[in-house]
Order: sequence, then structure tokens, then C-alpha cells
Amino acid sequence: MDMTKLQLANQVMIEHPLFGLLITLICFQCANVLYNRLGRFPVVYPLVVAALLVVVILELTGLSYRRYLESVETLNLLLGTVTVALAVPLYESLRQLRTMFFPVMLTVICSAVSAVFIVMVLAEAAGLEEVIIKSLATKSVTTPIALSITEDIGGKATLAVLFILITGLFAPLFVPILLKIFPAKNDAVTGIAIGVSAHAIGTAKALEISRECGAFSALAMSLMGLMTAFLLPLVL
Amino acid sequence: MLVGVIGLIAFQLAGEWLASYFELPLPGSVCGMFLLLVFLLVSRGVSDSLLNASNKLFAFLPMLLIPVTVGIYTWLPYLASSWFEIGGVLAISFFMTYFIAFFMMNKLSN
Repeated sequence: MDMTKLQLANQVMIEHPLFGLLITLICFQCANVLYNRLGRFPVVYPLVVAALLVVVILELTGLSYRRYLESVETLNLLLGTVTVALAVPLYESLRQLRTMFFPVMLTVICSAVSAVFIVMVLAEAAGLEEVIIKSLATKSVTTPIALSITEDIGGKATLAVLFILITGLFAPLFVPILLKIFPAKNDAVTGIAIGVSAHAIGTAKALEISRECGAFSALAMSLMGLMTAFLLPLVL
Repeated sequence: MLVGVIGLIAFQLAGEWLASYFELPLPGSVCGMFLLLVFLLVSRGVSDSLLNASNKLFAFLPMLLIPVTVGIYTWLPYLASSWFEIGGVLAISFFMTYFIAFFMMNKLSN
């Protein structure tokens, strides 16, 4: 009798909307502490570690991913608010952008065309399924824009999210090493390169480098999304 | 800071409205970002409250991305057979896109 009462209370706690939020906060805090302890070593980038910890907790408690997602819906909404907030650092670096308008636009256009072209040619050559190829096409685009395009061109939104995330995670993992081998002339160069190749996850990394780097990354990410949104329906 | 948060959410919603009304192929939040940018350009300055709110949000950006990142693990079995090819394609195209943008910007910017 007491055992079932205990199980019931556990179940109520696990399925409470706050449970998902609480484990997300705790896992993020733990991952941050680990990241700072290990001298900001890129392999233990907080997002990856925190997500792994959440997976472990979901497995242990038996809470389904769908239920977890429902309980942290607010965080997804705030992701859009962060996008809006990026106008602030963008505005602040606008004076510099004015002198670099042409290079930035030219770079983003070339990147958008080549990113789509490269990934689809490679996927075709690797003999991947049609649905995977089409879901790969938006991998460099920020998730909200990418999702609206993917379904239109015959890809799967769920697969697209996965490929976008993997692509994004390359930035925190490899950009610090790449920057050591090939130093950037300034933070604007780094920001644009990160923004076109690794969207919002990359922008989170760029903001860690400097606010200016983050602003250029956000700019490149937005322009990249726009270009791809107009380009992809024409190509496919 | 509360005023800043209110402003950000108001611009986000205004962006959602705009994107829906004009059927733009853009998410509402990106429209909201451009609306806020225009507002800042017109009003010529960022208030402390807005600066504070946006800085606080940026600090938590990786945390906001945790829920979607967790989703990766639920999809791993589906991709088991073509895992290697997909990983290779994504890695090569990431590095090529990064380098194209990086070297173009390094050459073109002064």
C-alpha cells in the first residue's frame, strides 16, 4: 500500500511541467561548472553535456521525450525572443557594418549558394536516400526558417532538425581550433563565417568570443536563412 | 529590465503578426528582429533596460537550445545504417561553407 503511494507521488512529480524545466536548469548548471572547471575545453561544451545529462535523466525516470518537450515549451518560445534581442548587438556594430556592407552581402550570397550545392552533391554521391538528401539541404539555416522550407521541398522536418543541430554543434567543437590555425583579421570575419555555417548554435559560440562577433554571426545567420528560403524552392 | 523584456516580447509578437499577414517565408522572430533594429535606428540608441534584458537572454542561449538537442538521441536508431555517410557529408560541407565565408571575408574586409 505504501509502496504504490510512493510510486504514485513519484509519477506525479516526474510528469509535473516543472520537472522538465528543473532538470534542464540543473543539467545546464552542472555542464557550465564542468566547462569552467576544465578551462573552457570545447569538447565539454555545456550544451552537449547538458543534453546528455537530460537524456540520462529521461532514461532513468522513464519520462518520454514528447512529454519533456511539452514541459519546456517556454524555452522554445524564448529562443524566438533571443532572435529579436540580437537586434541590439547588431545595432551596436552597425557603424562597422556600413563600411563592410558589400563584403558581407557578397560573402553571404556565395555561402548560401555553395552550402546548398555542396551538401546536396555530396549526399547524392554518398548514395543517401532522397528524403535524407532533401532534409540535408537546410542544414546551415536557423531552425525556424529551415523547418518551413523543408516540408515544402519534400524533406522531413524531424530529420532536418537533427542535421541542423549536428551542423551547429561543429561550431563550438571546431571553431576554436580552426581559429588557432587560421587567425581571423577581426571578429567580424569570425562572426560571418560562424553565422553562415552554424546558425543559432554557432551564434551562441560567437557571442562567447565577443558581442561584436555574435552580432555579425546573427546577421549572417539571418541573411543566410533569407537567401536559402528564396533559393531552395527554385533549385528543387 | 522588465521594460526591456516587455519590449522584446512585444517586438517578437509584432514580427509574428507581420510574417503571418504578409505570408513572408520568414519566421516571426526574424521579422521582430528587423522591426527592433529599425526602431533602434529611428530612436538612435539602446536603453539600459533593453541592453540588460538582451544580455541576460544571451547568457542563457545555450540552455534554451537544450530541449531540441536532446531530440538528437531519440533519432539515432533511425539513422544507424547511414550514420557514417551523413556524418561525413555534414562535416565536409560544414568545413567548406566555413572556409568559403572565412577566406572571402578575410580577403574582402579591411
